Amino acid sequence: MWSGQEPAQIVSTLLDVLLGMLRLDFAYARLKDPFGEGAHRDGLALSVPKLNGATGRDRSDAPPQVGR
Amino acid sequence: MAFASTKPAGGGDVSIVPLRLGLSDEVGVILAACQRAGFPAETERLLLRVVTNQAAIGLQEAVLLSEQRRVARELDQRVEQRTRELAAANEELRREIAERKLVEEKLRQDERELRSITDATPQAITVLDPELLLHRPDCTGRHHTMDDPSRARISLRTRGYTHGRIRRRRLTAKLQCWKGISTSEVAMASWPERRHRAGALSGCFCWGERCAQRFASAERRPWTIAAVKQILGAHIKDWAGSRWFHESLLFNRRSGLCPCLGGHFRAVPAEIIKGLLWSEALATMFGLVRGVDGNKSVKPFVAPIDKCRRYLRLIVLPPRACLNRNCSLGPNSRTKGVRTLKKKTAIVTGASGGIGAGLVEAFLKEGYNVVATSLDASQSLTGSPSLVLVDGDIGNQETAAKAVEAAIQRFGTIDVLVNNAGIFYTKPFTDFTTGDFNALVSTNLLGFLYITQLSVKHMLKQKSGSVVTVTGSLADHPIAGVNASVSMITKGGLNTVTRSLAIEYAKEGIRFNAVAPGAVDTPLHKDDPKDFLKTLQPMGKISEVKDVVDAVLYLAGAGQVTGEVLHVDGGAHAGRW
Repeated sequence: MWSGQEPAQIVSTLLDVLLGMLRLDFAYARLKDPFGEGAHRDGLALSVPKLNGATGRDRSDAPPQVGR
Repeated sequence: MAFASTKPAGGGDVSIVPLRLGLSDEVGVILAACQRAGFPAETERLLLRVVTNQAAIGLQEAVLLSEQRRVARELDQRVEQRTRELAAANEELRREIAERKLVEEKLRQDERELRSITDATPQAITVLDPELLLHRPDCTGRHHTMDDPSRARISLRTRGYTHGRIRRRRLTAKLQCWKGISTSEVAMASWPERRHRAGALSGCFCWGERCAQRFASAERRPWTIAAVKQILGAHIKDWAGSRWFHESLLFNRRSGLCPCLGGHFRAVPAEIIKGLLWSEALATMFGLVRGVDGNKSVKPFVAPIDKCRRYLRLIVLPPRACLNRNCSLGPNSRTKGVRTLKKKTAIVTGASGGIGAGLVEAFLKEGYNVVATSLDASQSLTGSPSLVLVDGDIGNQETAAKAVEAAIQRFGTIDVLVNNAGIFYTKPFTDFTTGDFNALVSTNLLGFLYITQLSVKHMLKQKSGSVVTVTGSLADHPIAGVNASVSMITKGGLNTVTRSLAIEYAKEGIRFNAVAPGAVDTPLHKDDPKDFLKTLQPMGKISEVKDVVDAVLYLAGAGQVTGEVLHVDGGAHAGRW
């Protein structure tokens, strides 16, 4: 299902699935190089935090990618 | 493993589950947090594990794909770079090929020029072939192989280096074995050798490193005509006026490794020697030897001639007659001593057959350079160094100009012009057409006018020259039954203009004469019955081409005969028979 996608897209999809299926309040992913390279052109690792909006907490459609 | 944490904002605890991406979190980590009690249940834990494993696999595939793309990009860049380099190399190669073609074309041009110069003086050059036989052309370009003494002379020269006067005596004796050499000539020929040690009688020039040092460094340079002339420099004046330039060159064409010196030895290319005016070539060799000799700080280079035998030989031989016995410079000539090799030049029109072809052959035998012109001269005759062929209608001014230009450019002079081209119609006067008249005028009159005018202009500069025109006996002495009235308008006109021009240019040294043949056995009469033709001349036989040729040759060389119309008609012009 992730064939041909960039690491950032994979991580984002993964976190959305976890938040939805397990009704999580928060999910966070951090990738090491070189897996985060696709998201950060400078080669830094990728950090993706997500909050579940269904629980009444903040949520954005495009979760912010937080650099290191 | 899950652990609980108090929410920073208060309001209870949060269960946090850390999950590894990859077997040993080499990909990354995932944190899942939930406030529900009992999180994560067993099922949730299992689900988290499966999902994170799948995600790790997906991420690894993504990295591999990214790496493949990167490699592909680099490969493309390399291919592009290499393509650019190859294109640049190809462009460079094309430039080099173009330059090479230019150089080759220049070399070919040089060779053509050299050959043209050489061809103009064939007798001046004697060639020593690899078998040490001598070949020398005569004025017709035919080669004569000199028998007997060549090997003996060469070995004699070798000994001559160390035996001073003895050498000279032996040399004299041997050289006398050769045809046409007098004792006095041999004595003079030996003079340069005695004076310059390395000698003009034989010389070797080595271009190896060691030899280059022996010569002054300035002497080592590309062996071009310009270089030769530059080297010659101050020496040429001393030698140019010497009659010793009327000598022959002897050389072979080999080159390669010099066994005596251990270096690369290259003989002066035969083409260069041939390309120079042969007198200049001799002067060059003398100049080199003398130049070295004159500088006391430089030891003269005396190549051991016996070891260098395979390479260059320059042998100065005394002036000799042309080997063509029929040539004015030939062995039958009465001229003694030093003879000039300057050849005369004749232009013959209508040269492809009959009288014209006979004239060409005769003039060549006489040692002339010949420019032969006719409609198809190049198909009927074979060119040679002494024979230039010009195709074209002599009634056109352009053809006349070409012939005269060829004579001047190739041979430098026009000594004899033979206006032989002509046509001849026999029919009743009333049957002649305008076309017949125009054809007769074009060939017989314009063919005389154009080339004679151009030739006389050059003869005026020379203050000498001879013009012989072939007309017809019928012009002055018509024969009953031979109706050629309109044809004779032109032939009679030529007889008249010959006399007029003889007077006009008598003081300029230019002679004008005509030969008026009767019936001559030529292709012109191939359809006429021989028995009938014989009745047209009192002597009862048809004239041969040789009869007319002899008359032309006589008039060409008869210095006190001008304005003459010489009939070669078996007596037909003398009266009734």
